[in-house]
Amino acid sequence: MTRMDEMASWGIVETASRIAAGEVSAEEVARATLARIEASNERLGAFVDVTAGELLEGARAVDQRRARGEAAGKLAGVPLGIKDALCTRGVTTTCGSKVLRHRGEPWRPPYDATAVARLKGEGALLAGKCNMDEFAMGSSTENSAYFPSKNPVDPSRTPGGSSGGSAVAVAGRMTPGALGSDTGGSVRQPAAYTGCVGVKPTHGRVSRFGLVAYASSLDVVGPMASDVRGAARLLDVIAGHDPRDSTSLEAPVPSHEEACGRGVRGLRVGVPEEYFAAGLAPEVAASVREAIGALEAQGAEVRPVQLPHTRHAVATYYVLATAEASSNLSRFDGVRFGLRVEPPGADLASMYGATRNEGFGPEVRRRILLGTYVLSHGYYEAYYLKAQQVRTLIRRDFLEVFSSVDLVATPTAPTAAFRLGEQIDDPLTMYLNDIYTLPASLAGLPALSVPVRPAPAAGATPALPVGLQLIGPALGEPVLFAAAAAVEAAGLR
Amino acid sequence: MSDEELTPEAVARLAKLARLSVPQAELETMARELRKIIGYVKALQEVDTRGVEPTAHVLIPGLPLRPDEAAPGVERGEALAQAARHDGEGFRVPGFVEG
Repeated sequence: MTRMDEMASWGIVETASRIAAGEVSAEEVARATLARIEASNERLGAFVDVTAGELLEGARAVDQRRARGEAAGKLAGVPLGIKDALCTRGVTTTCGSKVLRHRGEPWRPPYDATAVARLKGEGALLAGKCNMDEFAMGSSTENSAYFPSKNPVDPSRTPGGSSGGSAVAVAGRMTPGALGSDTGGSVRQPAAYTGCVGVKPTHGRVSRFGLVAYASSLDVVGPMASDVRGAARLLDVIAGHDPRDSTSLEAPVPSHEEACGRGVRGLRVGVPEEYFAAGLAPEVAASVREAIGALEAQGAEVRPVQLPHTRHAVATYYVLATAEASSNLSRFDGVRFGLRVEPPGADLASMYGATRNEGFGPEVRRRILLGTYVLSHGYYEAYYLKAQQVRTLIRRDFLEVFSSVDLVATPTAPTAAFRLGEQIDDPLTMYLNDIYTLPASLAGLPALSVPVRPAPAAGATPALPVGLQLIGPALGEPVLFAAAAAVEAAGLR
Repeated sequence: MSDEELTPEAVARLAKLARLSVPQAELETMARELRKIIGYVKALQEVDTRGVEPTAHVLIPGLPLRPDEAAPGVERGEALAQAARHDGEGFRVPGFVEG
């Protein structure tokens, strides 16, 4: 193994520890990261912008602080990919869209998202901005205005989405961790498809300040990492109340990293039969059941539970998320930032219309129109209000279940990664990929995906990663990390 | 109107509300796709929600308030810098007062 390959195999915690101990310099790590990105980014499409200069400069600063004996932070020198939906001061932030680009120049925000600022505060270094489905609307990263990202395990397949670029950065061993955002599964599903760990925290656990809004009542910033402990460390850093986001929770932040060592003895694990019904690929079911067995073997108590409103989650989500999006995306109007299309003699309304039609891709336009429809006069009660009521029923299902179990274990996605191009022409089929991740989003609950045994190779198809989803009660992230670490320790992947 | 009425003309009206100039040639396809999605979403009508409170947002028991203190925001020049058109003091847009 070359020194560079060795560095690429380190997780977040190991990278930080080795830099802190002086076994390797932050600059060496940064150079290895850039070499890995150089070698694979063109093929895999993880990053839409690589911030090489900033990364090297930051790494040298970390090394200098260390040389002076100054405290450097829990993530000092660790390079991270950041989803293009999160604001990064002075650096490309385009949400995978043409609408945030004008005359060839990307929008460069005058501020950092709070999650990004907190990572930097602990010494983490930005390696670049990660590709995504435009405005986080998609499950394959094919809706990016740049290029589709490709699954490192099999580049003819999708890495999932919408945080596909972040997943590829991690699974492709370019950076040991990344930030994504999860509205309906956009961190968990790509984590499952690529074989990394992805966490959707409780809604409000992490500030949304500086996250470009898609559906505010569902959007959550979430960590992705090559191992469970690395994801826990990222969450420890980014979690907590932020005066700039009044919906961020004021609850104290426990150590999620410490929780990784707790074990699962006596934990009650609920297995909802609704998540093992028709549509679930048998090889995914087998891997997930094996992992649940591993939890049981380590002392957890497994019992069946019911989440009867699960089957309404997709419809509920696509009403509520599109309604919120139709309102949130009205800010992209060509006035203050990004694209402006202004035909000669255009009035304001035609400037808006031309800018938005040119700037937004087909899926974004479709969801804006759908959201406008379900909010319009005569349909509000039938669709929007109805979906909000069903959302209550989905929440109640979970409240009921969590009165008798500590967490719920399910598959993260019904299949392993599908082929690029396979579902892009059929929006509804694409939406059904999210069937197992949407309920926790609608209920605002924490959930994570941890890799389990890959689906067996078959013919030309290599063994494809499979994710186990663990869902907890509100602010129950520590229990999820304890269980995920136990699954990881079972060595199934 | 029912979703059967999600005609290309209805989509054109929605597009106007949403400030999207959807080209005439795309209205038919967009209408068909929206009808298919709405057809799926309609299954919600079968759920008994009598007496069920709607959920607009989870987990916020009373929005927290912060002290009302002035603090510096984004400086004007920086805020204007990336606008397609500005005059140094404000954003410039085409005329919008109907004569």
